Amino acid sequence: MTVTDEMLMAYVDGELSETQRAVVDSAVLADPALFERLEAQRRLRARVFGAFAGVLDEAVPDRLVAATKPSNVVSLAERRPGPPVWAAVAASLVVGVVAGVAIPKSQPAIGADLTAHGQLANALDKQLASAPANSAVRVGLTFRSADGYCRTFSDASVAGLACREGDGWKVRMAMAQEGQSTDYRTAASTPAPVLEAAQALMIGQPLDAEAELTAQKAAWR
Amino acid sequence: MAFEQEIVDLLPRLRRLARVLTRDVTAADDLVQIAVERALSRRDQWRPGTRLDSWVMRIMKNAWIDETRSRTRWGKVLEAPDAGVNVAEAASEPAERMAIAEAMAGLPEDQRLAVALVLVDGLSYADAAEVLEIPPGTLNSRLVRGRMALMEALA
Repeated sequence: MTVTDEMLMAYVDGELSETQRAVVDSAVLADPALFERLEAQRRLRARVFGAFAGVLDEAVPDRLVAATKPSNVVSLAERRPGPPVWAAVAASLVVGVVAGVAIPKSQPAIGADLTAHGQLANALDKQLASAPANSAVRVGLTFRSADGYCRTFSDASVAGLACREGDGWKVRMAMAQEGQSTDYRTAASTPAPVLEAAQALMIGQPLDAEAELTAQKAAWR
Repeated sequence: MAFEQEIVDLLPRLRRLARVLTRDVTAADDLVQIAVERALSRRDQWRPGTRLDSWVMRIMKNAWIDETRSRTRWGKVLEAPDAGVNVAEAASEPAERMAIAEAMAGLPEDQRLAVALVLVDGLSYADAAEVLEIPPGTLNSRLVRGRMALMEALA
């Protein structure tokens, strides 16, 4: 019986039956060239395994351990380039709601590129959480992320998170608020998913009133 | 053991497998993170009593294929590995590992996946075929072709 390379591979992979193994064993004993081919397969397996074995001894990055506790992280998939799934939904929501409540429909609150416009942009630029303005939009937390300042916002029916990019604010996430209220003054506090997204981006602590004012005066740079 | 803890225990193996698929350490860990997030969001689809490792690896394989397709779509396939540490540089025997990593990188995606699961992760043919969602015969021919190509590249 001819011993093929495929059989030799299966041999070194431990995938042959007892009978097949015995066939290979006796063929290899009788044929030094075949023995060399078997050794070549064994070496290849060992080399390929060995080249990556060191990865097992590396410390696992914290972010991967954190990813197994889903409440602590923003989905990486959602942070990848390209508008995430929620974007279109959120944009239409915020456009509809914020625009409907506070600003003319001709001036959408969030542009196609997810940049904040109109009253939302105005609130993010000027409003201080420490000094609530008479505005449909309420700004919650302000904090620093790796890329700059970020602020959570909400109105009667939408809550979200925007971060400073250049001279504007990019909406990183937005969601419908449950229990819509017609009175903006009773807008719900920041919902848990927004807080969790904020937590994942936040470096250090949220800004206190003084730091918030300083950052606002420096145009959030 | 809690589901989350079992996944934590799998992380070193998942990282190793990802590192075979992409030599860039950050990209490999991104892939692991996406797989873990998907596994957690679909934990109700995992049938207790079946192998969790195969299930998570299957999710990672699918994430990798999605990733590969979208990179192809955006024309970034030929992007050079970034300036970060790669498998070869991090190794104790740089020349050897560099050579293996190069040879592996030269394999077609389907062969690389088969070789990674069987030679690097040590799965049986049956388990590897299940992870890749292909018949055993297909796995076998990918393994044979992949190994032939490696032999040639490393000769």
